[in-house]
Amino acid sequence: MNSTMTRRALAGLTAAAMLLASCGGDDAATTTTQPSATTGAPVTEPMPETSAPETTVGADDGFLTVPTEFATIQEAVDAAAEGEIVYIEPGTYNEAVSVTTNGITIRGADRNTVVLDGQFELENGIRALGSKDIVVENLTSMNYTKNGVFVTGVDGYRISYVTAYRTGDYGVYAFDSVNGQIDHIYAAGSPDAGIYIGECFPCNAVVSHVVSEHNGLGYSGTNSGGDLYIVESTFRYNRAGIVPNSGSYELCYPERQTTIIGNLVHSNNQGDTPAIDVALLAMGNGILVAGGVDNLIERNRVWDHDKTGIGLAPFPEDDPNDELPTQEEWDLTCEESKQVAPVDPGGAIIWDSWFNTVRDNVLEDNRQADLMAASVGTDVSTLGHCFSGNTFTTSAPNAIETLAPCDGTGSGDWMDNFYNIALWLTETPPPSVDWKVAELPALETLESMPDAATAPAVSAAGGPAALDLASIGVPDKP
Amino acid sequence: MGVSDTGSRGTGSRGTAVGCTVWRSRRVRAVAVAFGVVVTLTACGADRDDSLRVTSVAPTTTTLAPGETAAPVETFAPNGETVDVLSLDNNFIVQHITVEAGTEVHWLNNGRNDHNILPADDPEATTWGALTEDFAPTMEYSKVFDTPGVYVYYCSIHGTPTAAMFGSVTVVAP
Repeated sequence: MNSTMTRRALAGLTAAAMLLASCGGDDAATTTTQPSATTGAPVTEPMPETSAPETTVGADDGFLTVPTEFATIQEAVDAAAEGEIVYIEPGTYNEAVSVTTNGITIRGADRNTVVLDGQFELENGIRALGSKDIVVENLTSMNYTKNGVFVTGVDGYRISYVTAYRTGDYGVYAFDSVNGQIDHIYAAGSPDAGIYIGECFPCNAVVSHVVSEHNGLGYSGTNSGGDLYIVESTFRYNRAGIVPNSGSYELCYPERQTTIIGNLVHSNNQGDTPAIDVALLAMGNGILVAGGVDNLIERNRVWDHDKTGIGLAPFPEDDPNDELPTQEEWDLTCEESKQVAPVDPGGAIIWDSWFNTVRDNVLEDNRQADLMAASVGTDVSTLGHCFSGNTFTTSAPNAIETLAPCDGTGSGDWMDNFYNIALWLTETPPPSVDWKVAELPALETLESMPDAATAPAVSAAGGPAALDLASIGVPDKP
Repeated sequence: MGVSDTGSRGTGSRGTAVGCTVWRSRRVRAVAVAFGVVVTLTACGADRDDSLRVTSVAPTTTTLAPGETAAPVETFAPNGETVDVLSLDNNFIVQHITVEAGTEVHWLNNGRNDHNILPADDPEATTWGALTEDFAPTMEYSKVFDTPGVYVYYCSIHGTPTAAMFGSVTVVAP
C-alpha cells in the first residue's frame, strides 16, 4: 500500500469512526449535515441519492472524498497532494477551510447541495493563502462573517460554479493574487462586493458569467488591473454595479487597465442591502470608475439607475496613507510599487479618473445622466477620457461624444450641464442593512459544473482561459 | 540612503528618501515608517534617535543546543520612543521591524477591513495583541516591548503566522 493509500485508509477509518460517533449526538466543532432550510437560509433542493464518483475508500484515484474518506473538508485538503481533487459529497459543512497546498482542486458534487455554512460565526468558507494553482468549484458558501471564497497571495486560481451568499465582507474575494479566473458565480448579500479583485497589477484575470446582486457593490476592484477582464456578466440590484476604484488603504494604486465588455448592468439602486461607506456613496450608478485610469468600457447594456449609467468620477480619500502616485508610477507592477515609500500627504487627496475609454455601450433610463465625467477641482477636459459610438440620451456634460471623441479632436463647452459630483457627499442614502438579516432572493437551483463526478482536475496555473473579445456583443435585455 | 540599500528594486520616486521618511498621520504620533525596505535612522541626520531601526529583514530564531541554558531574561524600562506600524488592507507596513527594548510599537488600522493582531504563539491574544473587535478601521493598539526577543504576529482574517498578513517585532537590548 503506498503512502497515499495508507493515509486514505486511515482517513476512511477515521471518517467512519466519526460518523458512528456522531450518532451519539456529541457536538463537534466541525459538523456535516444534510442541507435544510433554516432561518435566514435558502431552501435547497432535495438531495440526490448520491453523486459521489465511482470510488472506493482508499482508492488512489485522485479523488479525496468527503465525508466518505475524510470526515471534514479540511482533513481532505490537508491530505491532498498536487493534482488531486477534494471531492465533497452533498451535505452542509460547518467549516472554515484553509488551503496552503499548491495545485489542488476543491470540488462539490453538486453546486446546490454541497453547502459550506459559517453559521454567522466562521470567517471564510474557503481561504487559500500564499499557494499556487488553486481551484474551487461547484459548491455554495454562505453565512460567513468575512468571505465566501477568499484567495490571497495566490498565483493561479479558478473559482467556478460557486454560490456565495450572505457574507460579511465579500462573496468572492481575490486579493494580491494573479492569473485567475472567476466564472459562473452567483454572489448575493455582501456589504462590500459580490465579486472583488484587488491589489494586483498586472492581474491577468477574468470575471465572466457572473451574476452579482443585492450587494453593496456588484464588482469592486481596488488598485487592480492589467489584463483584467469583466465580461458577459450581470450586475443588478446592488447599491452600485461595477466599481473599479483607487485608494491608498491597499497597495499597488491606482486601479488601471480593466476591460469591461458585454455585461448587463441594471437597477443598481438597491437601498435595502448591506453596504460599506463606498457603496453608500456610489449608490445609484451602473458602471462607476472611481479614481481609475485607462479602463476600457465597451459594449455593455446599462439601464435603470438613479444617477448615472457609466460615470467617470473622482474618489475622495480623507485619511490617505500616501500621496497620489505620479503618472510615471502608473506603469509600475504591483511588486515594484510595493517598494515605493509612502509619503504622508498631510490631508485628503482626490483620486481623479484619467484616460478612460467608453464606447459602443447601450444606455437608457439613467436618470441623472447616461454618460458622465466629473472631477472636483480638476478641469474635466484635461482628464483624457473619450466617448464614442454609445447609444444614449443624456450626458453630463452635454454632448459628451462631441467634447471627447475617441477619434479626432473634441469641441464644445465642458461647462454645459457640468456634473456637480460634490453633491453626492451631501446626500443621505438609505443606511446599510445588517448583512445577517438583509432581505435576499431565495436561492434557486443554479447550474452546476458539468460532470463533477468524473471530470479530471484542470490546473489553474496557466491563468484564465483565452477570451475572444471580438465575439462579444452588446447583450440583449433579459 | 535610498530604497536600493536593501537590494530591492529601488523604484521609488516620491517624496523623501526612504530612510529619512517621517510619517506623521493626523491620528498618529510622530513616528518613523518605511515601506518594505531597510531603514536605518542613524543614516538620516542629527534629528533622529540613533537607537531606532526599522528593517524589512525577516526574523530568525535561535535554538538552544542541548545542555545550553538560556540567559536570564532581562527587561528594560520604557524609553519614550514609539514606532508605528500601519495596518492596511491587507498588509502590515512595515512588516518586519527591529526596535530597542523599551520601545512602544503602535499599530493603526488605517484600512477599510477589520483586522486583528495575534501573536503567533498566542493566537487568542491573551498576553498581548488586539482581537478583531478591538481593531476595526481607525482603531489603534500599542504595546511597549520591554524584553528582547522576536515577536511574530499576524492577522488571522487575512494571513497566518508565516504568510500574507503577518509581521514581526524584533526587540534587541539597548
